[in-house]
Amino acid sequence: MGKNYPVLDWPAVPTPSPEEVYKGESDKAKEYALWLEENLRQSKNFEKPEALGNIRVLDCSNTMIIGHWCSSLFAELGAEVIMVEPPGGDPLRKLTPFGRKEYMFKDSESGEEVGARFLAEARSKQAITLDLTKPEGREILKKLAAHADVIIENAPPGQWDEWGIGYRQLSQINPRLVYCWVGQLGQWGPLKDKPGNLDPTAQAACGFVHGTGAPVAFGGTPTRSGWWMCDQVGGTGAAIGIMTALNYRDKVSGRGQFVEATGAAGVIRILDYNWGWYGIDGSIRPRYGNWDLAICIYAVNPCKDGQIMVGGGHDRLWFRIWRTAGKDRPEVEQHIIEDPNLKEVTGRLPHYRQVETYTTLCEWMKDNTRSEAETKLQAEEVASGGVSFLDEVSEFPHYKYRGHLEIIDDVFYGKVLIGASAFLGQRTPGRVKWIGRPTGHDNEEVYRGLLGFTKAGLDALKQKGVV
Amino acid sequence: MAEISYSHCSLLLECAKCQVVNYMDPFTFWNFSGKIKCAGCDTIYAVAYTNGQRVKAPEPAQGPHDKLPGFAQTKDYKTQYTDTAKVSPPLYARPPDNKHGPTYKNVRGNLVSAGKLAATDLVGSRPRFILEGKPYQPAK
Amino acid sequence: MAETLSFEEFCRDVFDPKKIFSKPEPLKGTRFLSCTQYILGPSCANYLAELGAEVIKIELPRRGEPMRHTTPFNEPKLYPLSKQMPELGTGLGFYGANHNEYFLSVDFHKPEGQAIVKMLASKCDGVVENYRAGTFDRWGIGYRQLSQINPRIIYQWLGGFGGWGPGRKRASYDILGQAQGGCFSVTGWPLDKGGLPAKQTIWIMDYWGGMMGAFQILACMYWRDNVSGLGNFMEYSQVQGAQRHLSDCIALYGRYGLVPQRWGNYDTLLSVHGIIKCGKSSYPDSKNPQELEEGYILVSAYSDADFGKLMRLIKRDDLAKKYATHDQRVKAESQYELYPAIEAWAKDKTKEQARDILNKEGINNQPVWNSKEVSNQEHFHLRGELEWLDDPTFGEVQSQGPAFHLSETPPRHKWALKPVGADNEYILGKLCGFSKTKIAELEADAII
Repeated sequence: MGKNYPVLDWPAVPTPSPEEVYKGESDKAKEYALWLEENLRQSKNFEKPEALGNIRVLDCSNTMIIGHWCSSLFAELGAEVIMVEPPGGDPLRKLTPFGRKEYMFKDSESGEEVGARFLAEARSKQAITLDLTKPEGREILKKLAAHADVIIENAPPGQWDEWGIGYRQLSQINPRLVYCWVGQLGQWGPLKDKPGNLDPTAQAACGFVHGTGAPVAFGGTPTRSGWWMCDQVGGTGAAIGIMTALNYRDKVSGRGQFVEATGAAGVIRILDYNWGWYGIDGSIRPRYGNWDLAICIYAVNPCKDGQIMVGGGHDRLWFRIWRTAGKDRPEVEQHIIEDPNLKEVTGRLPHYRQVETYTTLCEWMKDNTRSEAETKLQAEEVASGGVSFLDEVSEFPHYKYRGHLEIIDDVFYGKVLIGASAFLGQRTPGRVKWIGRPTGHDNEEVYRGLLGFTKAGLDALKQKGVV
Repeated sequence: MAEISYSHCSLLLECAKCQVVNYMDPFTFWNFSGKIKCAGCDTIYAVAYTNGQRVKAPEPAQGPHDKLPGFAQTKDYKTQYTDTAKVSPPLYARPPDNKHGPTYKNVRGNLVSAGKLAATDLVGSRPRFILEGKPYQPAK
Repeated sequence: MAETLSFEEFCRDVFDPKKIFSKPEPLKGTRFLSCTQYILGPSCANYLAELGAEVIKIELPRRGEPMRHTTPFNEPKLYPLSKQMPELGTGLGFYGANHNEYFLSVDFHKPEGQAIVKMLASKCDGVVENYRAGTFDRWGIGYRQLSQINPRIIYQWLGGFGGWGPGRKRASYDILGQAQGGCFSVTGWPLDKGGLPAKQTIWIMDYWGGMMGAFQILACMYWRDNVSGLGNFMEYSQVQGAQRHLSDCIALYGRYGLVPQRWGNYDTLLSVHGIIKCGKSSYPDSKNPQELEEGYILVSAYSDADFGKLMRLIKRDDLAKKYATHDQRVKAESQYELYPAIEAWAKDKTKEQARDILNKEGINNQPVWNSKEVSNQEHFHLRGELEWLDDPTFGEVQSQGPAFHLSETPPRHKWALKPVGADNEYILGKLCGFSKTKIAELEADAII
C-alpha cells in the first residue's frame, strides 16, 4: 500500500444506546418507536423465516452491475443465488478504482483479489464457472436451468437464443422458469445494445445526464451520476418483474415467462415530468443544478464548510427558514419578508426569484457550517441536512443505530463494512449472510451436488476449460 | 419599509452609485475573482470571493465585465432587471416568445385538457370536450 | 410459430405494447390502499397498480395531496383538479406516481374518515403508507390495529428516517436523503474542476425507494400466498437507500479508510469510458435557447483493441502507445490527459457527427439526449417505454411506460391520473356499501 494512513475501527464513535436515544421521552411517547424496534431490529433477523427461501436464481450476467444488483435483492430475501461466471471469473471482479490493486479485497484461501464494485453485489451468493461459448458449456447450462426458478442474463441481444439457450429453448426444458434479460437499452429495437455497452450508456440515452448538473449560466454542464445508477434502478425494475412473474406462476398459471428490464427503461419510468411536459407543449426539461424547477425552497447550496440541503415548499416552512436566518442576520429575513414579489408560494418559483431567494439564504449560510446551519434549522423543524462524505455518513449515529451499515465478518474476505439490506420487516426481513465467494468456489458443490457429476467428470470439464 | 443597507453583504452587492441590489448567485460567484457590471447603471466592479466570502470590498474598475449578476432589483423592489444584457439568462424550456398559456391541444395537435376550465365545462369531474372528442370552446 | 421468427421478430411480438391489453394482469384480484403523499409512498403503491392491483389512493378532499400542486415553472397542469375546483389543475409532480389508481378523498384526521379507512383496509391485501411514523397507529388504523381485522394484511411504511432511532423525528425529502446519504459526495465535479456536487435530476431516493418497497411487498405476498398465510409489516427508510446504493464505496472506506470523491463525467473503474463535450450545437438555428448548447457524447473504448482504434481515429498514436494497457489508462492522471485529447477531436463536431464517425469505426458511444430527443426516439415508443396515452379524463398525454416487460402478464397504464375524489361514489359504494344519500352527507360534512 502507499501511504500509511491509520484506518479507523468502525464505528470510530460508539453507537448511542437506546437509553440515550429515547432520553426524556415519556413511556407513552416512545411506546410506538420501541414497538418498531422490537419488531424490526436486525439483530433478530436470523431468528426469522425468509420470504423467498425456496427460490433458486441463476445469475449469469457479467460485466454490468444490473443483473448482480437484481439477484442481490433476491439473495437478501432468502433466495439461493448462484452466480454463473466465465472461467477466470466475471471481468467485473478485476475492476478497481483507478486500477489501484491495493484497494482490492483478497480471499484468504486462494489469494484471489476482487474489486469493491463486484464484491458489494456478491452478497450471499455462490460462485461457479461455466464457458458458454462452448457447446458443452451450453448443454450444462440447460441442465442447470432445469433446477432454477429464475435465470438472469445480459449477453448481447439474441446471443443466448443463437446458442440454443434462450428463452424460447429453455422454456421448453423448464416451463416454470422465469427468464430475465437485462441490459442498457434493450435486446430488441432500433437502439438495442451493442456488445460492450455499459452504464452510463443508459444514463446518457434516457435524458438523465442532460438533466443533471448546473445550467450553463452557472457554468455547468450535463453530468452523469457518480455510480452506475441506471444499472441499480434497472436492476430493481428487473427484480419487480421477476417477482411478479413468480407470484403469477405459483398462484395462477404454473408457468414462467420472459422478462426484460433495462437501465434506460428503469430511469425513464422515474424521470418524473419530462415526458408529460414535452407532450403538452413541447417543453424541453432544463437542468437546474441543485435547485428545483417545481419547488422553492428545495435545494442544496454552499455554506461555510461545504454544501447543505434546505427544504420547505410552503409558507409554514418558508417563514421558519427566514426566521432562523433572521436570528443571526435580521436584514436577510427582512429583505425576503418585505419583497412583495415573494409573497405568494407560486411567486417564489420563477428563475430570478430563486436567484434572489438562494443568494439571500446563502448570505446567512456562508457563515455557518453544515452542522451549525442544520442545528439552527432543525430547531425550527425545517428539513435540512449537510452534503456528507462517506466517512461522515459511516459515522452518523442514526445509521449506526439502525444498522444501515454493518460489518460482515466473512470467512473468505475478513471483516467488510457494507450497506446492509434495506428490507426491514417484522416477519421476513432481508439479511446478508456472507460477502462473496472467490471465482468457481462452489463448482464442486453445485456440479456434483445439484447435477450429479462425478469427480472425474468434473475434472475433465475443468481440463477442457468448459468449467 | 425600513431602509436596509447591503453594503456589508458578500453575495448581495449594493451598487455604491445607484443602490441597485445585484444578486451574485452562489454557484457562479462562490469562488470568483473578476469584474461584474451593475445591472442598474453599468458600473464595473472588481470583486473577489472565496467560499462566498468577500476577499475585499468591490472596487470600481474598467470594463469589460467577466460575468453578469444572477439578478438585480431596486431596494424598494419596484424595478426588476431581467434583461439578458444586464443579468445572466434564465432557464428556458421553450423559445422565449412561446409563453405559457392555457393549452387544449398537445404538441401533436391532439386534444389535451391542460388549461383552465369552468364548472360548466365538466361532466362530473371530467372535461366535456375530452369526453365528446371535440376541440375546447370556452363558455360565453 | 414462435421458433421460425428471428430473435428480433420474436421479441417484438412477445413484448408488443399493442398486445398488452389482451394479456392478463398479474395482480388481478388484489387490492391495496395508498395512504400516501409526495413520491416515496405513492410510487410504491403505483408499481403495484401498473401490475393490475386495485389501488385506492386516499387524499384530503378538494385540494388533494401536495404533489398535485407541484409542477415545473408552475406551468404544466391537467384540468380540473377536482369537480369543485375546475379552474385549478393537477401539476406534473403528481404524474409519475399515480397511474391506474382509484381516487378517494377522505379526511382521515376526522374519526368518521378513519372509520372509512378501517372498512376499506379489511378488504385489502395491503396498505402503503408514508405519514409520520406512529400517526396511523394513533388514529387506530396502523398495522397493529388493521392486522387484528385482517391478519393477511401486508403493511408497507415508507419514510425518510424511519420510526425509530436518533433521527426518527426528522422530516425528510428526497434530496435530503441524497445529501446525508452520500450521493452528492460522488456525483458532480472534483475540487480541481470547481468542486460542485450535483443532485441526481430525478427524485431517486423517492421513486427508486418506492421500487424497493414494491419489490418487498411482492416478496411478502409470495411468502404469504405460498408458504405462511401471514401478513407482514415492513419499514423502508429513504436515507438507508443511499447507503445501499453506495455499498462498494462503504466497503472501501471500511477497509482502507478511502473516502470516495466525485469524478465528473469520467469513470473510476474504466477508461476510456467517459462523457465529453462536442464543440458544436446540434440545432444552431433553434429558437429554444436550450437547443443552442453544445452537445455531449459518451465515448466508450476501454478494451485494448477499441482504445487503439479510438486513438488512431483522433490521430494520437502517441497516446495509444503511452496508455496501451488498461491499468495505465485508468489512472487519474491518464484520464486527465486522454479526455481533453478526445474533446479536442470533437471540438468541431456536433454530437451526431461524432456519433456517426465513431459508429463507422465500431467504437461504442451514446449521445447525451435531452427530453425532446428522447421523446422522439422510435425505440422507446416501439417498446412501450414511452407512450402516447389516451387518458380518459385529460386527453392525449405522453407518459413514461412501465420499467420492465413481461411476455405473458405485462404491466400497463390505463390512465395517467384522475381528479381528486373522482372515484368516491364507486369505491364507497362498492366496498363500504354507502348509499348515494350517505355519500352526499359525508361530502357536505367534508369527511370526503
